[in-house]
Amino acid sequence: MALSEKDRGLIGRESAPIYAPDEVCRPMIRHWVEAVEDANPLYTDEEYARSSKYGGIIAPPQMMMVWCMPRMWPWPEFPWVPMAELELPGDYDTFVATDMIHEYYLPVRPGDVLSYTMRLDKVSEEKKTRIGKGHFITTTQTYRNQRGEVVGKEIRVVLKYKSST
Amino acid sequence: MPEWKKVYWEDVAEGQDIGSYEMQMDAVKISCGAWATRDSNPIHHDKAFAERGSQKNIIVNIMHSEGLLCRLATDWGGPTAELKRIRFNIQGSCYADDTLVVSGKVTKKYIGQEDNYMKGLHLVDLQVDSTASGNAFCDAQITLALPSKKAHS
Repeated sequence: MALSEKDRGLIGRESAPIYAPDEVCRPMIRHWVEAVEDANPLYTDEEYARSSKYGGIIAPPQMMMVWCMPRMWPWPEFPWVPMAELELPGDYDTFVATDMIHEYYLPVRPGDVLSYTMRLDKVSEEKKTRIGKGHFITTTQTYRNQRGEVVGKEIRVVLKYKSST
Repeated sequence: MPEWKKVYWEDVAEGQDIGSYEMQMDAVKISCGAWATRDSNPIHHDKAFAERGSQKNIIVNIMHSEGLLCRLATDWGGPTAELKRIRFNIQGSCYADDTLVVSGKVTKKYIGQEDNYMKGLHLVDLQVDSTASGNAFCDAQITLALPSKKAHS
């Protein structure tokens, strides 16, 4: 079945910014570093970081998404997000991420406050895949700091499908 | 201050091995990774929940996995190596009590030509793979900018 007019109209639309609950900070960087056992001195060694081209501690670029994870309580109110509005014909019940690209443009530092917007880029017609029939949905998340500078992007493809089990 | 590794672009060859590391995964490590990435899905801390979903144990989450793969790139290149881009794919799961092995090699060495934020940089593409107790877990294609001996910095 073809995509509805409503679904086609959502393609290219973007959400308002979704803000990180807290500013970027050293304790959260250190918790991440412990889990990954990452010894990179840019993340935790003040003396080294000061002597580097950054002039101070930076957050691991891979933490970009982490800063914007929603708080657990009280559960935040989210702005309108185009992906949540998709009606998609068919009784799809499962999501799986099939591809994820992260691009890092600018360093993120303690004190920065990040936010991101979500844009719906593409929705495929129904495709038959190894795990079931479904639609591939591509979104771009653009991350900005408190000065409005784009620090990085995430391009993600998920398959919304009907599991064959 | 300890001496940190500094790999220059000129000293890298395509096809070169970038080494590997091993990490013993257990429930503490996995739940610590989930918490450090603010991921509250019970599949990353509640074994009974995981079993009801027909998984044999709790599993490492995506943001933790991505961190573990990128770590090999900067472990190898040193703190002057800059993460620019990662393409990440998941093939399987890493369970509590699995041994994680992360390994990689250089697939391409080039100067950024495309008209984007990497133009003119000294770049290498890495293929980083991982296994959990021998089973394919996740992999990534990582682009790293390295310092050049010819540049001023």
